[in-house]
Amino acid sequence: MTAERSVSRVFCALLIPLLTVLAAQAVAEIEPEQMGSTTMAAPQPHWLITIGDSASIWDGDTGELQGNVNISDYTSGVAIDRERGLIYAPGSYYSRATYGERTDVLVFTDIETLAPVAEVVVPTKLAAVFHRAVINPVGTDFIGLYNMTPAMSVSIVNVENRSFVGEISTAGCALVYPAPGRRFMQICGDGTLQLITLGRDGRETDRIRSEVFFDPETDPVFDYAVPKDDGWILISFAGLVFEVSIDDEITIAEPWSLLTEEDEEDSWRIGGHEVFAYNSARDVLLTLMHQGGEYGHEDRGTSIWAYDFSNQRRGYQIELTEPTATIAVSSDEAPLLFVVAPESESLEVRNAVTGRLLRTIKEAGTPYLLQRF
Amino acid sequence: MNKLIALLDARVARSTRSLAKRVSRRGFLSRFGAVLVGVGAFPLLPVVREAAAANDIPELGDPQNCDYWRYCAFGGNLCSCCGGSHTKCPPGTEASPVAWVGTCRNPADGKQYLISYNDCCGKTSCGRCNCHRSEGDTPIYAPSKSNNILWCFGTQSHSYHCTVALIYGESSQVS
Repeated sequence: MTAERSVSRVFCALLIPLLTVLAAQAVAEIEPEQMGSTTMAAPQPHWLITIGDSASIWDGDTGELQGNVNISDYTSGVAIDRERGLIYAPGSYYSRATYGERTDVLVFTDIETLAPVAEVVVPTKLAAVFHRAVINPVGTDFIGLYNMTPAMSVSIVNVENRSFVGEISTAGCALVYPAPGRRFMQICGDGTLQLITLGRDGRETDRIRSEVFFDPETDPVFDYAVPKDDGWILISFAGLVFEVSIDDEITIAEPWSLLTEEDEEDSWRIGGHEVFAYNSARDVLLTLMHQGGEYGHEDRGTSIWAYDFSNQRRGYQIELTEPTATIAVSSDEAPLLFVVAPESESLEVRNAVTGRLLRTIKEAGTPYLLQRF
Repeated sequence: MNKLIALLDARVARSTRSLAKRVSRRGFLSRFGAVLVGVGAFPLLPVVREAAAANDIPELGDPQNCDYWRYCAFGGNLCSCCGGSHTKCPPGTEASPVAWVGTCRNPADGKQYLISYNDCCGKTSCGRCNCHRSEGDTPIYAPSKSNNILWCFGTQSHSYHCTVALIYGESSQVS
């Protein structure tokens, strides 16, 4: 052993205990961190809810996940009540996960804490269908829940006193689309629309039907509708756009086509799951398009086409990097377009007016259902 | 996992091959229109099984393959890949007595048959052999042909597992 090595060992023997003491003192001087929970910021117009295994709230401006709302295995839509600060989620639950006693409920979740705060038990008839319009507000105090057993009906819940009001039979007519006042609209299998009015107690007081305006056999409309200022927009499988206005009656304007003759010759079609979106502040309609044959109404879109809605004129077209079935647009004056990218499990955020890609949110899952806040 | 999402994966995930493009929509709808009469009084599953068993219908094709002739309007997981068969639910699952329907041509005899697609229910999704050839699929407001519905009605649980394809009769017999 050399003298140099010997000195080194002595140095280490002294230094290590010294560092240990100093480290212990440093730990002692730091106050341990405390766990806790965050709460939600105030809802923003660019927030979006994706529905998959949970209902996830995203901020389109930052791409950050804000929080998750508990939903059941059978939930495909929620309703947001800004006034009461609540999110309503219908759900079906079994006592043994996949079997046992079934309970259907409307769960009230606090919008700030995202914690469930109340629930109302409803008949075990909630429809298990892939559609956001299984739940919607009816006026300010009621929620309509679409039932299917397969008989079709709507359960009404009073959210002010948190009670089940009753069930309204809606044979042949599906879903719940809100209308001004205590009313909701439905699409019917005979090619009409139905409008049901509730009284102050939430019971049905009136119902009217529109004229037959589409042929369910030759060219059905999508069961997906998007709101405009005075009603709803519906589009048929062949690309006819129906503008529905609701006042005392249901008025349906003469349809116009998304497709030119040249588009039809090139086999362009509309298709997907949530296949179109509309922003009334900028009057822009967005549609998911692909080239294909018949029965393509569920085929994923390869392009997004933007229309100046009132002028019925097409603006930009976006060629997507991967086909998708689902788009949504925010409702503000600087709208964001959200596009699910199912293969890469991401969510594209675009400027809805220019079509420009702003950001891509990774690890967003593969939600089939989007709901703007 | 969200059962609706699992089912949507199975129902809507497109197979690479689709016979849909070969059949005209008008042709399908006219055939379907002819069988709608029978839907309202659709028999319970045991009755369907007996009816199919009583007929000596020639078979040609693999029931574990989405191309099998009975699956022309199918959407979901093939029960033949999940411990059951194309006519029987896997062990421990319960067949829904309510079904959506299609009309398929049997290549072995060239005849058109009315097929009922019944979901098997009560367990989590099988997840195997996704098959989607439902060219006659309709929106939710016309449910008898709609794939976007979980068809576990009249069962103890409406948890979706897989789907079978049962011959109900020759389409000409129903019209």
